[in-house]
Order: sequence, then structure tokens, then C-alpha cells
Amino acid sequence: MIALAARPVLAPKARLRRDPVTGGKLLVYPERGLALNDTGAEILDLCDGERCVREIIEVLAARHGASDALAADVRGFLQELADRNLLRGLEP
Amino acid sequence: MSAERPYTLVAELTYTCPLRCVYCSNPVRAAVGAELDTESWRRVLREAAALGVVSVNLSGGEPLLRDDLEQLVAEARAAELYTTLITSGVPLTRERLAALRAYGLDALQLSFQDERAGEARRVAGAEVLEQKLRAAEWARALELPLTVNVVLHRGNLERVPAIVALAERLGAERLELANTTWLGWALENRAALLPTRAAIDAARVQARAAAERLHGRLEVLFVLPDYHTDYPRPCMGGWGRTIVVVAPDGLALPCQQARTIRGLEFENVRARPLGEIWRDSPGFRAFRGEAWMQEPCRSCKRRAHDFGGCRCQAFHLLGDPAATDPACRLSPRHAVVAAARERAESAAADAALVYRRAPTPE
Repeated sequence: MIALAARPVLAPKARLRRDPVTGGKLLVYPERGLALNDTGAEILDLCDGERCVREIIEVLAARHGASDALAADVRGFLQELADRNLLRGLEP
Repeated sequence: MSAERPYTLVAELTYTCPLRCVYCSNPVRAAVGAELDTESWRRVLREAAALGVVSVNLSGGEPLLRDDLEQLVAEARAAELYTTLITSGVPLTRERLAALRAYGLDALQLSFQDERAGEARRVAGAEVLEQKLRAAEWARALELPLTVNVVLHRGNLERVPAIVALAERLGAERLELANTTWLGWALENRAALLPTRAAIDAARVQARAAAERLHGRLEVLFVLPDYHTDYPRPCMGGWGRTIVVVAPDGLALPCQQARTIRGLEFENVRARPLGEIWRDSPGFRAFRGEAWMQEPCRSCKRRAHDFGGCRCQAFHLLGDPAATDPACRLSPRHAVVAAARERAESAAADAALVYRRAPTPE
């Protein structure tokens, strides 16, 4: 699982854009695309390479209320992106 | 069956290529018209984006032979398309790659025949390896994400570990180990290129081990070998479902080979907007959905997964584009594929190769 001290940022090969058909967010990268839900797009917005995962969780907790599920969801989502080699800044 | 939106446009900018690869997927016998001009391609890119396309593969032939490539990359970027150049790298210069990057190119896909210069020459019919290695270096220096694509066949399947090592050394993000699809020039050369089952099984194990070892760093994809799996590949993700191809002469197609299926009517982007062609042209509607399927596909549980396989393969091997793909073991005519597979087990090591020529203009 992604470290709480990691400072993730989107890999250069990936581009986050609006899907003109659904109005949602799409993460596009070579040969693939990933439709993000609102939560995923919000998490990714906070990944600036400066904030660590712990801080990202804190920001989201301040907005939506803290819970164990929130932390697990954020780390699970970021790990999924990391598995696709879509994040940089994973070494704390 | 109504049309879904396509996500990817494959823009085949030209059929011309300095290479003569023996497995080229361009059509072998097709009367083709003159190439689209710059303005037409720019319009196609805009129409594709309006239709919901989010990524474009600039392909060929060799797309670098178009001297308007920079303009097309700029147009694709303006339309917010994720733009990948699919190239041999042979006519490339460092300056041109830097310019394409500056115009908005997002990623580069470079083909390699082999990691050995002599074998690469034998397959491509030209001296290519050194230049490809240089092109990959330029991509790395420009921080342009690199996909290495290698078509696998009898002559290089046993080189998978060395090919993986090459992709690692080049700093690639993605390695496509693409077992040959037996259409186009590959079908002409099938007897010389079709591998044995043992070679495929060994390569599959090696590819899987590499994928695990490199997980999160280099994506290693082993594209399933059509003749050696029990079920057909989900060709193009389904006919007219997620990908739209525009050929060099403007014909809009569900796949690069579809124009070789006799009896289908395809339309040209010169005459009609891409969105209209995608939605209602007879060629796109022909095999969309499931209504066209015969048994055993019609009642098969796998039909939503593999869409009945490849229509071009059904046409070229059986003469009926609506038949179940004969690569499927459930096909009543699977013997056609099984016989080719059996011949490969005892084929001579160095059969003669037929080199690719560009399709003839009308």
C-alpha cells in the first residue's frame, strides 16, 4: 500500500481532462483511459508532489469528515494509479 | 444496435513506408485513392473530438513521411486529443522529434523488429536497428513517454528476455509483445512466421515473469497469440465500438483491414462527416452488436467478451465475414486454423519471405 509519507504527482505521460460526452473527468495515457468519479478527481487534484498522502487525507477529512474508510479509500485509489505507473513521487 | 462513442482515432496518414516488414498489417491488395490533404485531416481530427474521441494514434505506413505532421499534431492538441506517434523511427531526426514534442505530441510508440541488427534487417528489409536505438534515446532526452512495440513470430519469440532487457535499457514505459495477427502481409508469410506452440508457451511464461518483476515501472503486455488460444481475440474491442480508423485516402473503417472484406460498403470522410459515417454507414453497422452473429456465437456466453472474434479473419480464411472467427475452437471450421498450426510444428526454419509493398494507388 502507498506510504503515508509519499508525495504523489501525476506521471508526465498521463493527462487529466474533461470527457466531453459524460462531462466527467478522464485520465488519458498511452493506449488507455480511466474514467474518474468525483472523489477520484478530487484526490488527484490534491496530488501536487508537495502534499504527502497523510496531508491529502487530512484535507479531504476537513472537507467531508474524517473516517477510517476515507483513509483506506484514498490510499487504495492512489495505489491503483501507482500500479498503472501513473504516479511519481512515491519514494518518501 | 446504436453506436457507442469511439474513444480512439487511428489516423493512418500514409501507406508509404521505407520499411518492408513481412508482417505489415496494411492491406495487401487494395485499390486506394490519393492521400487526404492537410485541411481534410485537420477537419477529421476536429470531427473525431466532437464525436467523443479522446486519443489519436498517428500511424501509417510511416507517418513521418507526411511533411504536415507538425500541423496535425498541433491540431490534435488544440482539440485536446491525447496524441501518440506510431512510427518506425527511421526517417526521424532529433530536431523533428523535439519540434513534434513542442507542438503537443504526448507519446511515442516505436516499433522494433528484433534486438539483433541482422534479424531486424531480415524482417524489415532495411537497415533499421541503430536508428531506432537513437530515436529511443531522443525520446528519453525529451521525456517523451515511450512504448516499444515488437511483433512476435517464429524468428524472435525466443528473444523475449533480450527484448524485455532492451525496453528496460531504453527507459520505455510500456512494452507490447504483440504476437503476429495473421492478416495482411503476415498471412502471405504465415508459413514462414507461424511459431510452434512450445515457443509461444515459453515466451508467455517469460513475459509474465517480466511483467511481475517490472510491475509499476514498465508495463509488459503479451498480446495473445491468435492461433494458439482456445478462443478468438476481441478484435478492435468489437466492430465499430470503441475505435475508428481513417485510412490514408479518407475511407473511415472499423479496423485497418476492413476495406479488404469484399461486399462491405465504407464511406469516405471527404464526402460525409466522420460522426455520421460512424453512426450510420452500412460498413460500420454490418457487424455492430450481435444481430449478425451465426451459431455458435449467437448463443455463446463469450460473445459479449470477444464479439465473435475478427471479421477480417473470418473473411480471409473462410470467405464469410459473418462466420465465427475460425481461431475459436468452437468454430465448425476451426480445422483451417488447426491445420496451419500443425504445419508450423514441422516447418523449415528459414522459409522464403515475401516483403511488403505499399498498396497500389488507383
